[in-house]
Amino acid sequence: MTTKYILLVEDNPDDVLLTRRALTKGHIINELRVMEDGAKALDYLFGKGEFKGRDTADSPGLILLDLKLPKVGGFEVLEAIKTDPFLKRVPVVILTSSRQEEDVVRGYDMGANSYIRKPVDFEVFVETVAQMGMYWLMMNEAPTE
Amino acid sequence: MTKERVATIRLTLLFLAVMVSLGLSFWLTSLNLRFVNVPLHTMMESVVAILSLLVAFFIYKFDEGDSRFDRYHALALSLIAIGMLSFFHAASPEHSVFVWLYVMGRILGSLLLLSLFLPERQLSTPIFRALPYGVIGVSVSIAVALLFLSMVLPASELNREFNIWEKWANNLSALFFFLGSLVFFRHYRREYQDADFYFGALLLLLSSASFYFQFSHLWDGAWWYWHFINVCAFGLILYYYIGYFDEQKKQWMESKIDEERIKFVATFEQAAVGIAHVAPNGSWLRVNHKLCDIVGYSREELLALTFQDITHPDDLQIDMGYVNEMLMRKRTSYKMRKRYFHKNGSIVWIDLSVTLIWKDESTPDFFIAVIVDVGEEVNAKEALQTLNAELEHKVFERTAALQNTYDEMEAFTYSVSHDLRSPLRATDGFSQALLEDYGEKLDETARDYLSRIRAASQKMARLIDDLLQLSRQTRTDMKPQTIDLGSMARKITAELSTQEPERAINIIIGEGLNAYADPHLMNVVLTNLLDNAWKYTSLHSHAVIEFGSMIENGEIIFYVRDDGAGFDMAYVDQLFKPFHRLHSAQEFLGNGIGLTMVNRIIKRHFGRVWAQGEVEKGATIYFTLGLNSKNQSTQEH
Repeated sequence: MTTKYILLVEDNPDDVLLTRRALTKGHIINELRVMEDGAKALDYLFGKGEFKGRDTADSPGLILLDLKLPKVGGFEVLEAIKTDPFLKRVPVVILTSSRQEEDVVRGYDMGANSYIRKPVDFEVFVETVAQMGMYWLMMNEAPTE
Repeated sequence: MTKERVATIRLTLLFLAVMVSLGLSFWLTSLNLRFVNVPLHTMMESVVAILSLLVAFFIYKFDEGDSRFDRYHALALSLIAIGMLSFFHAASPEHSVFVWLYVMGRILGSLLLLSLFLPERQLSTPIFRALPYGVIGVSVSIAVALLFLSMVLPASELNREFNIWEKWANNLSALFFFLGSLVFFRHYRREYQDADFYFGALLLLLSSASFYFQFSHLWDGAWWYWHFINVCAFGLILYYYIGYFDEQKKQWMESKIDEERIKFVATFEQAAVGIAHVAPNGSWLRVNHKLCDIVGYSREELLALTFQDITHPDDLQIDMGYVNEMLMRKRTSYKMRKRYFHKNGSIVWIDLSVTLIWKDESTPDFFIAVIVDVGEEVNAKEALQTLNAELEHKVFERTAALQNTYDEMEAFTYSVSHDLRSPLRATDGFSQALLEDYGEKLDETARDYLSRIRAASQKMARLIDDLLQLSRQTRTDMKPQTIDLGSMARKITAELSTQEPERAINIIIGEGLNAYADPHLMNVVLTNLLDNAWKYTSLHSHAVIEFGSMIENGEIIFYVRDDGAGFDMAYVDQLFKPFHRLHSAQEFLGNGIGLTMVNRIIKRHFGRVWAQGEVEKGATIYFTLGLNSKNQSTQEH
């Protein structure tokens, strides 16, 4: 099984740092690539803008998506991913602070594979991220390309 | 023909007739006839008796109080005497007595007639008014006396020749009757009253009959002739009264018709609504005062116009449509609200009701239009509509403002849930990172501080979550249905027991705890209440928690009771306020939002919640639910 990278779409550097630490502590060793806003994430995923020419076939094994993002919001990114015939197979986990019922429902309706609310307690966060990474990257059987 | 000429002709004809009859009587005398017929004679005298009394009765009945009454009164007295004695005369079988009775009747009657010549003042005295009864009495007395005195009376006739006393008594009465008739004829020439002529004629004929008496013999032609004259005299009066009553009836009917007409005109003219007769071509035929008032025209001005002239052009087509349908017999009446132009040019709103009167099958005669001024009503309606529109606008504005506030609150909530948590996460995460990565370089105090930072961040995160939950409970849509609170409570307590299996708690949950409420919200209520009970009994080795219901004043009251830490009733008011706690966080965990939430949810169900407790004895929270399936359905409709 190839070790695919994780794409984290997150604008808050604190959260990026904490997520990275949580993954490390949870023994998820996959490479973590970070996009600071929604527009950049889309450029990356579709090989446009500053990522023009990137091999889009090199898709992430898991996308961790925050909802509240500058420029292009999390839901728009999600929509672009889930309407793309190729990218839609990549599992997307919404990783956010919001626990609004509407957001949860909307997220699942738009094809998100999981919805995780970032807990404040870091130990719980580590545990959550570890479990999630374990599940989506190791236990879950991804389609072969 | 003038009344004077009629009077002259009548009187002339009457005197000529009397003269002719005088000649006729002399001729009859010369024929020397004899015809004995007692029944015929009885009948004739009876007719005279009845008619004379009847005429007297009519006079009292119809002419009393009349200016002519005095002379009629004198005549009536005379007729009563004649009538009364004529009865006795007709009924008497004996020749001798019946002639005397006749003579007495004539002489008494004619004497009473002379009261005509008394001054009027005397005729109207009370004594005079009582005279009719006196005359009746006197007549009867005379008759009775004559019947008894028949022996001593001189023979009334000899060889059918009347005696001299009787002849002269009749001549005297003939004179008095003649004088009486002159009085009536004089009045007739002055006043042209038919009654005076006929009464005069009556007296003249009675006079002539009395005059012939002396030339006649019992049962001969002349004798029958003057009896015939007597009957004729009363026949004439009868003829007069028949005409008189006929006339009276006609007048009475005319006066009735007049009254009705006056009433109808008054109804038309003084009605509080406008009424008009309108010709089939639309011109006003007759209008009442109120209609003139409504449209501001005078009657003459209005009658020169048509209804089309003063109708608002926007309403005219509809109105004409109705008019044509009526003229084509497609409808019998119509009603509409329309506008007239007032003379001053302003618009007058009216309600119009129209019916059509037909002259015959195919010819329309006129319309009857009833017009009611509804200006005030229309104005009030318009004012109301304006007011409603303003109100609606205000409601719209305020709803928009409210929606705006709500949206802002939503945004705020979102921001709180998302943005406030991020820094807390960083605080907690990096404190933990410090502890993990640099723990050995820090002393005990520093590590304790870091732990406190973490504890504080986590507490704040919980507070934020509770706040969000609190606001959410009051905003979510309610979907009330019939639910079993008992089984809900059992699930919750089972969960609690699983979390803390070591606790020795006796849980009592009643039966039939059904309620009409929102299941999600009631779950929050029961969870909070049972959680509290669980929590506040935690310092006791053994505890009882009870959930049940009771009925008081027809209302179901639910309660959750425990025998735990309880509370001082002095602070009961603070129990349901957010973030107010009666126990320290060291004693019992929590941040004082549970009962606030319970309170809000119960209030959303139109219920009440209250508490009772005692320190170290326990606490009971009571609540009611105001909703029921019935009033819920009325709210929805």
